[in-house]
Amino acid sequence: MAKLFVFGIGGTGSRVIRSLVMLMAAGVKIQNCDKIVPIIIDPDTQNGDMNRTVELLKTYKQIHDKLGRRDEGFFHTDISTLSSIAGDGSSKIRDSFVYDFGGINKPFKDHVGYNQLDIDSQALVDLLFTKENLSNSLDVGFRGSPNVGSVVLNEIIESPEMRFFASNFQAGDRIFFVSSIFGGTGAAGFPLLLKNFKDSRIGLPNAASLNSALTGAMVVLPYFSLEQPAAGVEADFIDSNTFTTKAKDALSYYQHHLNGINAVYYMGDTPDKPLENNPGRASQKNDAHLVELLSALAIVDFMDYTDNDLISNEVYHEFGLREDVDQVQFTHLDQETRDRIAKQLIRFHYFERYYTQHVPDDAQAAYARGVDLMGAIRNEPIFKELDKFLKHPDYGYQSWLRELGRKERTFAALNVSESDFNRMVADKQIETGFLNKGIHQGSFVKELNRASESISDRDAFRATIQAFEVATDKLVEEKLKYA
Amino acid sequence: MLLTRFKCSASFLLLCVVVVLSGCYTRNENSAAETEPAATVEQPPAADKAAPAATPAPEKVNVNLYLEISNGMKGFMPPAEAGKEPTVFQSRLNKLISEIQDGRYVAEKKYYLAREDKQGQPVLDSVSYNTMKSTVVSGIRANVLGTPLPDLLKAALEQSVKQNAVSVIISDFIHGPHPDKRGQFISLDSDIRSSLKEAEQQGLAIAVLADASGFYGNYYPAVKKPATSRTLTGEEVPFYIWVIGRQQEVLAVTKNIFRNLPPQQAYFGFDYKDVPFSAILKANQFRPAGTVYCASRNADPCTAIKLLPEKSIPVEFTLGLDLSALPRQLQQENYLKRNLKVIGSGCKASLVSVTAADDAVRASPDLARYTHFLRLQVPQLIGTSGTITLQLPQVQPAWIDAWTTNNDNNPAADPKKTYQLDKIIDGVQALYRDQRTYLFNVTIKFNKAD
Amino acid sequence: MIQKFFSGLYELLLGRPLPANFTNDYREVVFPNTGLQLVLITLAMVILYYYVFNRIMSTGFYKTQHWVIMLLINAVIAFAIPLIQVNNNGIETHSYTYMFAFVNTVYSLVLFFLFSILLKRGSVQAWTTPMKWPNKK
Repeated sequence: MAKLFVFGIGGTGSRVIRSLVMLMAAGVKIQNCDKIVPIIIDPDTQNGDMNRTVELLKTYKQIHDKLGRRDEGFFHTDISTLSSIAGDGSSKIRDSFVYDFGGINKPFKDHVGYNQLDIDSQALVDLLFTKENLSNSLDVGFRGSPNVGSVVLNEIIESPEMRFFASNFQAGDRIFFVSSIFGGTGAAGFPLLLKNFKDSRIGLPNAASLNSALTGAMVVLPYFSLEQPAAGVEADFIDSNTFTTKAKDALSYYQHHLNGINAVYYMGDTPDKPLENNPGRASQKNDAHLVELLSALAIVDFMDYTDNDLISNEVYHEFGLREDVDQVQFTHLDQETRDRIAKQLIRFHYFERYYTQHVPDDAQAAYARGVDLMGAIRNEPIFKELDKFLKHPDYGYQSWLRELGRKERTFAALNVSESDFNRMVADKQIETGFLNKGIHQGSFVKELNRASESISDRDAFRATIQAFEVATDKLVEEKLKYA
Repeated sequence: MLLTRFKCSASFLLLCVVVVLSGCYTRNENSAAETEPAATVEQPPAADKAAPAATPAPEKVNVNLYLEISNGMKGFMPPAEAGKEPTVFQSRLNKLISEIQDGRYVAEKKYYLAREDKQGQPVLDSVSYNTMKSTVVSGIRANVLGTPLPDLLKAALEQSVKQNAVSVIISDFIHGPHPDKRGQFISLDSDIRSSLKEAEQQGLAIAVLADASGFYGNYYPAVKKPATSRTLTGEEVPFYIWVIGRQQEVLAVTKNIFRNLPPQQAYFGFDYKDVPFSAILKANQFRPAGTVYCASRNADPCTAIKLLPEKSIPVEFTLGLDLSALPRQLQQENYLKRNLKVIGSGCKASLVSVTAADDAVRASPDLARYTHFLRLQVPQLIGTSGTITLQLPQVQPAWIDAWTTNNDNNPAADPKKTYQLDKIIDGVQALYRDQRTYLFNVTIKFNKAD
Repeated sequence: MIQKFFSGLYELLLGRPLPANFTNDYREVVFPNTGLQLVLITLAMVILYYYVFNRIMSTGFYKTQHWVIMLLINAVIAFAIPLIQVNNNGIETHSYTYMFAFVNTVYSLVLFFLFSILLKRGSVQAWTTPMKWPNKK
């Protein structure tokens, strides 16, 4: 019953987890654990990136729970909120994928009790923090200010959530941090949490297990820039020009003070077109980015290592493409990476395309009729969840894939707008001829019917998902012949 | 109003249900009963197949011709003179012996002149064709007494049986017994019967052809009063040709050798055991009416049928018969219509019409085998199975009575009559009376249709 | 046995054959031949539909409309069989012949449906055509 706790810290953490969920939905296998417990740590409760990731996680969980435990297939990886891992309802904490900061909506100045300090202490505070730091409200996050974050986040170790986490941590469970090095929350939170978990003197339960737990981290280096505000506009903003400087500082800190970590992954890119500058709140809702998808792969990779591999030596990874191209296809990924995700993503993409485009016309097909799929789609809420997962304009798969194609370096392995199955995979198109029509509605439904033959489950949702798993596998192997 | 209409339709509906149910029921019952007759139907085709092939008419026959040459016959054969027409007798006989001698249908031929010797016994002088011909053409010169009829017939028959030939006996058949044996007048019929006994025993048949011919000379009637003889000059006197032999041979002779038969014919001892016949149910020319069909689908000929006459639709169907083996005269539609008897067993049956084959029928291969078509009507069944029998009885032709007289003393006043011809014929008939009541007999089986 | 069965089957609706003189042609040849052909052809059509088109070949003709097309083709064949049979056996055509063809067509519909229900389970693509009943998943 090994678990993996994934701490997604800050906006970047949320976004990487979003991509991780997509990979899990596609059926990418995460080894050596039974359950993933995502914990998003972001004081900015209104953060758009976080909120849509949370919605996505909830939807995923519903779908997974409906499908039940399985070793492979779409949505097979189990996820859980922190509060529900005990499984006995004994937890007093909120049932959420997000760490609850308990509504810190006051300015940092008030949070540290600046006005109650003596004058010397005030002077020290003034030295460490700018006026803006002090007067900014905390509920929008730390705005790229690790100095603020490190103070506030240090407190969460004392929180009931962290105690609950620690007391439910078991030997064999692993921890993974995802954070950006250049932001506020992430840059401050990751080393801080790590330090606390690995400090044997700290008063958390199960300290021994925590101290010896296999731990990995994804450190996202700068990969985007932000627009400079128009001159004269007095507004809150994050200055992306400081990203590189902050990253350098942080790295040098990590060099000496990052103890007790078994694997560290680095990922970055040269910034392209600047993003809209939205320091926090709901408006911080950035398009999904290739870097996040690739960062999510770090988690998969981390879990591929056996315990022994990680105990014996620390590993450090940087990600590299085979070619520096703007439109990244599966062929540009390393073979190992490709093997991990390509077929799964293609299958899921086929599933999504067919499910949204053609299933409504398949009322008479055997696979649909056999379980009264049309009635189930109308009446069973789980299909609504699936619809959300695939099509929700905020966090659905379609939006995610579309967003991935918007940046200068795009994820172009799957042609988002293509409706012809034969042209969907960028690096492998199916040759069609007079007799061979490749993959089309007819051949797809044929495989679905064939697949549904052997499926004994009479639940419409489970049977349909299983049918799609078998059918897409067959199509990828036999028609697309993807290798 | 509305209510009664409802009642009506309701009872109609009820009636429908009853009809449907009862229909179902009777069907089952019938199909159960069906098996048994169906099995019996199977066998007739095999037996019938052989029928048309039975005893084909012989290619050639042996013929013995016997011509009585008593004084009484002289008048038929007056010596030829220039400018004088030959008598009917002469021309007919001339053709006859010529056909026998040179025609292609005769194998062995023998000619005999029949007379009586001094002891009153019949003598048959075998003569050559030329002698026979000159006798017919030039007449009889010698004074020859007439032979008593029974003796002549007996002698001729014995001779022919020995030689396996058909007897053709030509005589005026005026019975002139010896003055010492007047009693023979009384026993003429039984005497004839005795004399022809052998014919019956040998299974031979007899055809009697009668014609009349001009007579020139002395005529010796059987009845000697008031005149023992009369001199005739061309008055018509009957003469007879008797053909005795096996049925097929007799028919061959009458058909091939005589060519032109006189209208007066009588046949004795004829019997047709196997007249080919079939119910004609599928021909367009003879559509049946009502429910009737052959018991066996492929039966050819069809000799067993299934039928189901209904009150409004009596069954009517046609029976095809091959009567080509019958003497021509008996094949006539009118004759058959008059004499055929239809006997239904288990049903009522009647004869509607008799049609001889016409060209259209002969052109149709299935029908060409049959010469006559009998339309039968069955208005009602009495049993669930039975037979319909068609019989053609042996009938004494009407001309026999017309040609019979009890006093032939004056032929000029009462021409074309023979003394006690009916008695002679009675004698012949008596010969066959017991076993040959019918010329032919055709039986078709039927079952009630299911 | 077969003759009795089919004769009974057709005469149940048609009554005794007309014209009556061809009764045993109908009973011994036409009815059993037609009946057997109807059964065999319908069976073949159903097998063709469910096992060839929708199992071996997977042509995509799995919809009810395709099934109906097969049903109708079979019905047309079923209408033609009696006419051909009657013609080939030298039986006079009669209004009975057309009634017979019609009844045969009706039987073909029933039979096609029956065979479909019995055999559709073995089809991969069309086991729910024309409807799922009576099969369970």
